[in-house]
Amino acid sequence: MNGYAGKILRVDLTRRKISTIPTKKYEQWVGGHGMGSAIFFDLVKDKTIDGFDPANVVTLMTSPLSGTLTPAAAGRTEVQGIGVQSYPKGWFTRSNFGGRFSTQIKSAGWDGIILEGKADVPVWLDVRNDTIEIRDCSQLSLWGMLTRDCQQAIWKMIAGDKSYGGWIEPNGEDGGQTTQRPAVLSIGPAGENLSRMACLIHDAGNGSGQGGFGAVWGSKNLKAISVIGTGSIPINNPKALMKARLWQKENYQFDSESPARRGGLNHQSSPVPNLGWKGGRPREGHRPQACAGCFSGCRARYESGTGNEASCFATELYFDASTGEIQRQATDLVNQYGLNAHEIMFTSMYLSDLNEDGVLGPGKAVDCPLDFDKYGSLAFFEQMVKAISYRSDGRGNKHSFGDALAEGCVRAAEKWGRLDGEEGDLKTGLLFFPHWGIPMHRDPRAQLEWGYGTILGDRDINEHDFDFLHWDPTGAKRRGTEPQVPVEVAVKIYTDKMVPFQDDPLMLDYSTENMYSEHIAKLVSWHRYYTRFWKQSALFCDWRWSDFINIYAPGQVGSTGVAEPKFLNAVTGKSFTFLDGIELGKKIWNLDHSIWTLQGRHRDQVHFADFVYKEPGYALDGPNHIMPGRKNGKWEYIDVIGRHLDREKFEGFKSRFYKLQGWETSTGYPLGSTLKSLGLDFVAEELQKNNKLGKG
Amino acid sequence: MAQLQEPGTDLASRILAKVPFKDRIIGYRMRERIGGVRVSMYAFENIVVFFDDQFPQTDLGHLQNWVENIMRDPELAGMIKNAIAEETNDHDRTGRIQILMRERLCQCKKS
Repeated sequence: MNGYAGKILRVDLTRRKISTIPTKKYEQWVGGHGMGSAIFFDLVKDKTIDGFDPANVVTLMTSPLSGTLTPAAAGRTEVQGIGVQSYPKGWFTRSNFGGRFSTQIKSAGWDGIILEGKADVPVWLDVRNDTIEIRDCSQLSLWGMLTRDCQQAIWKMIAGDKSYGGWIEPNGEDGGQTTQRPAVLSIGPAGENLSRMACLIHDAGNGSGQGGFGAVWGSKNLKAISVIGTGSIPINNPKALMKARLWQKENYQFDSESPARRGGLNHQSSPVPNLGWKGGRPREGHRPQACAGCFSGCRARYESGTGNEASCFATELYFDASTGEIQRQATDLVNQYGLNAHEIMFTSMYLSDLNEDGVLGPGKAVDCPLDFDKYGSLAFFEQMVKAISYRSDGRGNKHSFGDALAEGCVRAAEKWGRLDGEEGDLKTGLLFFPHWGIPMHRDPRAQLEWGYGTILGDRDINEHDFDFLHWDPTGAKRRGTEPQVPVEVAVKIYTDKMVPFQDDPLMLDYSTENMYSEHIAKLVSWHRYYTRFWKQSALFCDWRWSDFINIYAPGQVGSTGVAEPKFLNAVTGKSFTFLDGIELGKKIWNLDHSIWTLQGRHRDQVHFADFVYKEPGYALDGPNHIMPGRKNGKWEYIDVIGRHLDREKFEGFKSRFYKLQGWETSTGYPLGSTLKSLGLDFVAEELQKNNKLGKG
Repeated sequence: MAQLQEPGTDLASRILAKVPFKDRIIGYRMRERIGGVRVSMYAFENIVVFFDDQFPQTDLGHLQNWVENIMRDPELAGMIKNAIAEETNDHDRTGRIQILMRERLCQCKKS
């Protein structure tokens, strides 16, 4: 089994029992998400349990590409289990983080880690090659620590005082050597106190943000997992892998020698940190920082150490901060307390609006201990972070405000009565959380594959595959210039790669006339299948893949469709085609949907927040959002904002989507014939047992 | 480059004051990865600062009405109207409007 370590580590925290599962048993799923879903399905007998139930199983899976030199694919770890963030129900969900954790798992001889049960006291897991220990936190006083302190304490225990880069022997003299330090994944105080906004943090800034897995770990009394290994990963054809990497670099990668050919997204992106701090990159010494095996450092480490490894939401989150320096410190606070930057960002803006509206503040209808006269200061932000992390007033005293917010922003709003009536905050859109109690990322009224994919799934999909079609023309319109790629060319490049639907360009018609059509159902389907396999199972990174349009490549045709199987096959020796991956993605998507069905999902629950369906109104409208579409039969880049979804028509879209999947249209339950055709007979049996199998 | 007449005391106090919740201005900070992040602005100065962003977006027609009806500054509103009509893209429009609004803000702070 090239690309695999060959075994999966199974940890029963309740009985403190360690066992292994041969990877071979789940090899058909290749890795990552597919394996995680299959393992979850097998091990969690009652899928209706809550995420905080000790019977919930959390998987941390690698892929055959983890720890190899596959560009922008070697450093991701896929996290799955029943989450606690989504509203009104915590769905079986996923998250994903970068860094070097997956590499160390593989080097230690494992393809993944399965967490079951609940420890009787706070513990951490110490993995050194085949030596596994469940250790009490008390020895190092880890429980209560910030994530960085926790990691440092574990590094010190395992690596001693040796300077970084020096050789260590994690299993003693006979157990191999490494210059690496343990990769530690930890929760902070937010997870310990079961905040639904809590995440998992690895190194300085790798966060497994969505799903509330920090709280799930907290409920299991699990503070951290440390992994270090001295082994290596068998590659089927190392020469082919290196050749593929060079092929990708020479043909598709950002070319610093040709600055005139500047790219925008994905593989062609320049290797510079992606930062949202005011003033851009801090004016102090810093270096790009990349995940294991990646060619492109999209984060940085700084001389001062502030804001290390942060990017994207984690840098943008406190935009109302008075200075960029305060923003950087705010970034560190959420990482150290172990909080989801995306939700914190939208929560702080919501609180500010409620305060301005006069309903939130000390002694107000929503009794809030935060001092909004200091909004924009570090002190304000720190108090808010502590309030959410400790369920307190942010000053060390238990408080209903922090207790409510720790349940997540939408649940807090519900508790405060802010969802009631015709002016409820999810009806007016003041609470800008359009789906499953998760904040806005792409407007579902505009970028359809994103919003529809989210509501038909379990979380903000956070997959940027079609962003070029939006960002290129939107930026061009703002500047009064022409998009880099004409619309017909862009549509053709995309659809040519979207097998098996490649003959239908109308998949990319985002016009109002087409937005509920079977074509859009195909678009959403293809995206679900592609990402479920290639991104979340093979673990190609969303920040550099897919590669549809690439301005460096001949004809601007990126490498997606060719590159992904080229790398996978070089590592594994399989003869996997791109379409094989799409079809396996479909199977995994159906398995996930079956799990949601067993959790209790019915089509009636699948709807956006009310504001998404309301009549257009300026204050609730999204920003300028350009996408491809047809006007009078002719392709154009069209502005798709200023519209709201039509509830009835969206219900019609759901029926078309369900039909395309082979699910019962009246319930959304999968049909037995669909599952059997995918080789999911065992899933059909369980659905049948629970009266959840679709008829027809 | 003075383009605007000196404001009276009443106008200056309105320009420098916060507006109530219902009169706030909504904008969006556009980001390649994050998307459009909504921003609530409760003061004239917030809007001037907002236009410093790398990709600020707001309904400029609505802003013109806001300046005219909430700030009650018809002179500035008229100049914003001209900027919207005369410039050919949002980048240039917001740049020109920001200059005007900043000038008005400075005048009010001095008065």
